[in-house]
Amino acid sequence: MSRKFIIFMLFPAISLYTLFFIFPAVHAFYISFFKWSGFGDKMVWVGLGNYIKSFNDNLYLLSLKNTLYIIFIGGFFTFFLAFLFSLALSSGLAGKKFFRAVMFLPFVITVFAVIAMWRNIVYHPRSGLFNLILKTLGFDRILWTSSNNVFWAMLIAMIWTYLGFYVVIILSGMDKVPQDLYEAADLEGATVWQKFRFITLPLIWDVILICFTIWIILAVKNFEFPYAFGGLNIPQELYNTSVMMYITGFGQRYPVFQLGYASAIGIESLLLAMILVVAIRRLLKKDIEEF
Amino acid sequence: MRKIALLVILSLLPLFSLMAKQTEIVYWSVWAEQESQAKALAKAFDSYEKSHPGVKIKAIWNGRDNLVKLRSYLASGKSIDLFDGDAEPYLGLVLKEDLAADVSDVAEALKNDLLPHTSSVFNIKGKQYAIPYIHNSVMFFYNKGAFQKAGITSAPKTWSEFMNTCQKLQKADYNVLAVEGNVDFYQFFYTSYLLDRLGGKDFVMELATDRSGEKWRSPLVRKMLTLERQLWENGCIPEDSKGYQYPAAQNNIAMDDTAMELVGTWLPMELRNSVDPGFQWGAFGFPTVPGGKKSTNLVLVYMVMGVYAKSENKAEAKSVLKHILSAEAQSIMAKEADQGVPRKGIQWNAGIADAVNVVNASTGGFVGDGVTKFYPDYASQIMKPIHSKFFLGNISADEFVEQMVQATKKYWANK
Repeated sequence: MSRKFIIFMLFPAISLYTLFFIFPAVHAFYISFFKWSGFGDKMVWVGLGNYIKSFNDNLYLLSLKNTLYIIFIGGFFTFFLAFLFSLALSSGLAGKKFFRAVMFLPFVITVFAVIAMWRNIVYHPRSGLFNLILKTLGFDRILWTSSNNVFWAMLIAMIWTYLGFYVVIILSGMDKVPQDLYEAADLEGATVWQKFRFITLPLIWDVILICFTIWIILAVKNFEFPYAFGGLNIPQELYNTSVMMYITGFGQRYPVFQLGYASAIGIESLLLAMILVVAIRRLLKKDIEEF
Repeated sequence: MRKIALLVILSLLPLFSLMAKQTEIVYWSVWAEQESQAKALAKAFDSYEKSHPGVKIKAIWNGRDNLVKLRSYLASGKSIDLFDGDAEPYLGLVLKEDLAADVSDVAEALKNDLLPHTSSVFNIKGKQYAIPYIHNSVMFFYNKGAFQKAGITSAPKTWSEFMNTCQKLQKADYNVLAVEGNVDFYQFFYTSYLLDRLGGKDFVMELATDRSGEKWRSPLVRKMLTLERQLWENGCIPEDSKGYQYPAAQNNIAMDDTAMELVGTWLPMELRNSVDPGFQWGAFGFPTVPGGKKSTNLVLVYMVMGVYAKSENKAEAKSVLKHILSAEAQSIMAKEADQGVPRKGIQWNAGIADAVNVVNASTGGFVGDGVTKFYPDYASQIMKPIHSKFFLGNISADEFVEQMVQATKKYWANK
């Protein structure tokens, strides 16, 4: 196959990718140096003004904090539970495929349906599932979706929704580890924890790195979950950087329309994702164990 | 053969000339196609086209993202003729981006046909950028059955009568006020009204535009905060409300659990499929407050329509706009879409029949919070969120005042 033919075959895909991804990203970078509403031609050069503004903007700093909470706290609990469930499912449990499918289900259901369930059935102040359980156990109810708690309520729902996806990926990695290694470890008297730490973890390290990378990217760009959870008028407590970017650029009910500033927030989100992904891969880099 | 061909062409000429003369009016709408308001408008457009054979109206039913989608469309160099939206966001955009043509001539032609304080509120510095075609105003909508059970025979007019009403409803085992915990602009209705009653309809704007921010320390603001806190302390607003996500609180009215809500005239329409067949809606205006002005001003949240500033068919677009405000079109909107309408003499449906009396009895009106149309970022990112924190009990009155002073100062310093 000649080089020219390869280029010819790749050309449509590369053109589309350039037109719909590369060009808009470069254009967004360009717009981020201007004060512009998005209407008309009135673009006022402000240089790094939008970037400096963001670090003096309490609302942006709140959205950045929330994004970091989603990445680290949300990530910790998602992967802790994902490992737990993966270990349980790979321990020879009956109905493994069934449980795996059930766990994966929330990930394939539309986000709006999942959120409607959490907001109206699980978190309802009077008749919600969680408050009914608390009442039965003799505790006071919690206003899960009050402004003090709404972010954590959303994070719980998010973890529940995305958990199954990571269980499936980690489980598929675990399934490839040869059983004779575990048999040998059993003969040596290794505990469950030792087997996990010295056999499972090193051999699925590349899978774990991929999962962390996907989680960071999804957490930074996650828009639909907090936006849908906020409902008619998303409260500021739910803002992450993606929501902040959207509301600033396009408004929800209010014609805020600061497209230049929103573009700067978008570029900062891209940089955040890139820095974290590179940092995670460097910190957790190790030689890939082969079997 | 040639003669036949010539005859055919000559007989088709009138048709071609008719097609050539046809004007297309493009209307971008805030309604989704399946909504009753869209269907009412579509009927009005049909009747306009029948009486104006050379005109075709093309409606694009964008839904609530209308103004957002409009931006991209206009940025590509295309043009439209008519567009609409919620009054405050519409005006905020139009004033900022100079998007709407002056329709003062339309307003003048309609001035005697519209309810009081309707069109004039959209007159800004001698120009008019919109005409309201759906009347939404904010008042207390209540369950008449609940009031009867509580032995309340007349609507309260003063704050003390209002607190008395609240107590009677609680004794009759009702939760009194429905409040949505996540809708800060609904919560701000209380503030808009209280500050109007205490300081006049321009007072919120004075607070927002004081560049030092110090005006937020005014004793009138303190009084407003005290009266709002009273609603919670006296149990008029149940604690649950902090956790309600729209439309959980208003659904409680339909379930005969909660008696009333301070909200716009859209409420009975939103709950029409949830209430029992015998449910009766009542409405009354926001009461006057002790030491305040004797004002019965209304907070107006109209749906408005305007002509695009660069429309190539301005005259025809204005004619369509006038038709939307005609008795025929407004009747369809009132009857079939269950809406309040700004035209006089049109019967509003049973659910909002009382609201007309409130409108007629009002001393004046102001659009929304008065600030959004000029400073939407201040209203949406500072004023309402900080107020919501106070309203829901997350910060004290002192903290509210301090945060508003500092945030206002910072906003104007960065402007």
